[in-house]
Amino acid sequence: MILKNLWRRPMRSLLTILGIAIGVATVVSLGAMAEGMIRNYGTVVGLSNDLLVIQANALDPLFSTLDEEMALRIQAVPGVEAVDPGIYTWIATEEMPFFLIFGYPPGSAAAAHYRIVAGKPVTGPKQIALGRRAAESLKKTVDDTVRLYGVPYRIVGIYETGQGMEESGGLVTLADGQEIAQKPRKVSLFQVAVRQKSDINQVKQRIETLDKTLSVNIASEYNAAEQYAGLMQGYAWGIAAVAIIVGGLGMMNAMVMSVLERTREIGTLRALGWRRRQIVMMILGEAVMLSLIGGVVGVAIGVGLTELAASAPGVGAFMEGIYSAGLFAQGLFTAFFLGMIGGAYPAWRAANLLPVESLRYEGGSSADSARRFRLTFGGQALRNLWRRRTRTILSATGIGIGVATLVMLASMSKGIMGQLNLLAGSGSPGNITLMQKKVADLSLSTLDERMVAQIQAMPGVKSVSPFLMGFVMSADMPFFLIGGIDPNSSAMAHYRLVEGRSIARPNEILIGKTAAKNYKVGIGDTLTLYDNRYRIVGLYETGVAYEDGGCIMALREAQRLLNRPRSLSFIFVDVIDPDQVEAVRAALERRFPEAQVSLSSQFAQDTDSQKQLDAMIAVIGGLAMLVGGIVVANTMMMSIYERTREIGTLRALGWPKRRILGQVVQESLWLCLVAGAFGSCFGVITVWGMSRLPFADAIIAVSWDAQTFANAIGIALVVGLLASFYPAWRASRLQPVEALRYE
Amino acid sequence: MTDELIRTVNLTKIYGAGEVAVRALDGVNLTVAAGEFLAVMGPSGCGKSTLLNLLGALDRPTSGEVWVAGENLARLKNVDAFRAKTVGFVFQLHNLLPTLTALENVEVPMQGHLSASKRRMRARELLALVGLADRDAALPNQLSGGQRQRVAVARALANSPALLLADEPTGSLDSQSGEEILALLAGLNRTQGTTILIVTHDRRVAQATQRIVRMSDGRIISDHRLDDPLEEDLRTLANSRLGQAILEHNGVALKHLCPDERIALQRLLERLADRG
Ligand SMILES: Nc1ncnc2c1ncn2[C@@H]1O[C@H](COP(=O)(O)OP(=O)(O)OP(=O)(O)O)[C@@H](O)[C@H]1O
Ligand SMILES: [Mg+2]
Repeated sequence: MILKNLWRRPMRSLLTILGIAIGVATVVSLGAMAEGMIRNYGTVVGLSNDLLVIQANALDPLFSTLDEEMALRIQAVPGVEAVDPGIYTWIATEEMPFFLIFGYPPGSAAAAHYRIVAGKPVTGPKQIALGRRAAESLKKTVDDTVRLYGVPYRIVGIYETGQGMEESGGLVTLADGQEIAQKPRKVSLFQVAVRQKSDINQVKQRIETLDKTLSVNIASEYNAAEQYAGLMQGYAWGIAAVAIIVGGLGMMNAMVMSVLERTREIGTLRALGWRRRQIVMMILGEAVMLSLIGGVVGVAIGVGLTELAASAPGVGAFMEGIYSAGLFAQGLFTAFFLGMIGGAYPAWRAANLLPVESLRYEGGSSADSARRFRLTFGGQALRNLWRRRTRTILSATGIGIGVATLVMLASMSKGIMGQLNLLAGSGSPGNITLMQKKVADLSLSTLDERMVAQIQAMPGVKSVSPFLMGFVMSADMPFFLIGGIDPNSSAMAHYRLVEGRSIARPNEILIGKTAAKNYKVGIGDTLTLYDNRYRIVGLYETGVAYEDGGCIMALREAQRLLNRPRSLSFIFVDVIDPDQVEAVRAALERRFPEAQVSLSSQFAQDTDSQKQLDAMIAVIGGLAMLVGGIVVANTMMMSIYERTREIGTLRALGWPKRRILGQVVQESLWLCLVAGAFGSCFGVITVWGMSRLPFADAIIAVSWDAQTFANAIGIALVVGLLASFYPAWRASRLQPVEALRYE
Repeated sequence: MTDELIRTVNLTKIYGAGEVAVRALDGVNLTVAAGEFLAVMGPSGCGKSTLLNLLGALDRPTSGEVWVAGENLARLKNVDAFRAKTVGFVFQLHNLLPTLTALENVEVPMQGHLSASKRRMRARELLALVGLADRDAALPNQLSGGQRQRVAVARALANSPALLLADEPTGSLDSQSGEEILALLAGLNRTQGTTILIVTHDRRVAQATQRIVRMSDGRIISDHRLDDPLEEDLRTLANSRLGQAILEHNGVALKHLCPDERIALQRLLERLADRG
């Protein structure tokens, strides 16, 4: 009976299943990718020794910087057999957006981890061994050449490690790694071999007491992605939740419709002596059945998607999924849950139908409500929507959530972009920003300090301001920017003092207003950063959320604290004549090919992280709109089913096909327009709510503009249009005679 | 009657195929002149609705031809315009659009043919014609069954069709409302000259027309004109109180013996003559 009921409306069942399936597919594929990423990334440093030493407080080895000389001190610790210094960095090339570089001394135990399968190992400068996957996606082999920041490296060998991410990178000598990472005499990590008879924990403690900046991990227990794990799973769930909610609404919608159109039938069943419980079981059964089918389909789609992503060249290794039975169970449980939730309300409605009334039910709006709230305006399309308010609300909510997601993400992205643009006084149009080319993340940008003097000497340049950026991310300081700046440079003007005075000594800092509020500190208080104590001498305000949620200090001190002596994150250049800005920019670009030189006003757009952010938003938004579109298509299908007789009548009265077509499309567009408006409001409210969360004001700065809303509503309308094509076509193709006979 | 409005030639409609094929119409030849008011009668399933659908270009025949107002429906270029302008439909169930008011329902067939203000005016006229001028803002579910059917008649007349097709228009109504509708249709036929073809099960409904076509198993089995003066008189008599009384008196036997009105009336006349 349940199956027959579902089969009665194959299109509706199909669309509902599809909606659920997409939700479940998202859960499965994102879950698998997150898990894969965590597992993969966690083991990416290729630990071949007993202990791993990295910078304390560094988010992961990628952000870790240690002095090379530290190796000697670690070597001297009793119980230490050998110390291998290593460089670990990440660059972006044209072909490979994420290219990992490992630098180890040739012949070291750590380098042996990269098992050469073709050619020979790296033995000297400007040689590279490529991972198998990297070689495949770059289509290079032994004796070919790759260019890293313009410098040619000869491929001497191909290695395998059995680890997807490692195999997407390349191995070079330590010295070359230092050059690529722009970390002269610095390393990312040390791999320490412990003597056979020594107690590994004891050695670990001894190394830790050597220096406060060291964090020592036992290799077998280490997972670099530990800090990310929660975040990544959170992301995955957040995105999946959107898809799930929309899918669930679609399910509820379909079931409500199914109950409505079967009102008479249900009345008959009740009149024939069925109990409420039986009715509830029937409706819930249908819902659960639909969603379980959706679940199975979704798991299959999810696996397919993950496999597809993993096979993408270049980035594939980062999206290699790991499936666990738990994940599949999670997907199916999600589906089951959706079925129960989506079926509960319709089942309740069905059970509460009075047999007498439901037997009289004729379809169409109930006389009472129609009399009281009749829409007196709008065409038939609007009135048809009004006739089925529950359905309209449910489907509008479905697509509305999609729109809300879009608005939310877009505004946050715009906010972040605007923020980056404003970062460190690039407000004036004459400014130029330099950063390292092709770094994967803004905070990884490294420039040589000597460039400042060279730029200063160039014609047309008024002033040059160096800037070093770092972050504290810890439990009590979730996101705290440290800006290192020359107190005498012109960029200093950007930090408008609201209280106190400027920095005069290394142990003095200025903090932003938001930070002062969040951490409840003020002038005269001290702040501890990476175990260094700083006195707060002033409060500033810039209007940039990052900055106002962080601090600035003298450049030298920041370089020391962040362990990046003589290096900078950005260089800001002021020109004498604003009209000459493009000429100066071009000159800088020629002079410093390793740097990305942008007009400050469009600096953020140029960065890779912004491009990635945009791509991510497109994917999430696309997903939400896809599910929303399915919900709308489903609704329109239902709408034409229940109006089959009406459509037949209209055709018999001489309405041409295109008129019917137009009406269905119009109805769908109205639905999406309402949903778009509703979703925009919902998005605004959500972002506003999020920005009120504690500490969020240090990261989220929201920027609204008409464009965002216009885009969102425009997309909603396009979705409405696309989603209505099939139903409209079906409606216009109805044969009048058959439609009139339809019951 | 000179002008020929409908002509069917060996009209055949077969539903389904092979074992389950149903011959709903089987070689129907029917000619209807403009201005006629005729009833199609017959047992359920004999093909009445099928015939009507073919005449209204709602469906296509399996074989044979249908000519309406000089056009071969198989060669019709614009079926929609034909449906909108040449024929008007009244269904057994009113089939009004539930979201639209009475007035707006009447406007539906004119959409795309007349401007909004002209539509409104014409719709008001039509509602007045069917006696519902004061209920123009009512929704279908706020009207009685008979009123809904009147709105449906007004809607069918929207574009002044040459032919009005009504499929059991009184079928779902009580006898009082049924008679109202019938009187309305007869009046339209008389005053506007609209050709009306009505499918009915109701003998009394049929008697209000000028011609009765009987069908059985997809064929026409009899076709009687009631339009000669004698017949008119007889019919008037049969409907009169006196005639009723006489019929009632011998009703059962008469009906049983002579299923056909004409014979019944002749007998009646004879009896009357007998009595002087
Ligand atoms: N779409 C269809 N498919 C198959 N058979 C059909 C279809 N429409 C009608 N029929 C069959 O064709 C025959 C004639 O049907 P039609 O509807 O014309 O009868 P009718 O005379 O109008 O009957 P009633 O008085 O009950 O309305 C019937 O046997 C019916 O079952
Ligand atoms: Mg019929």
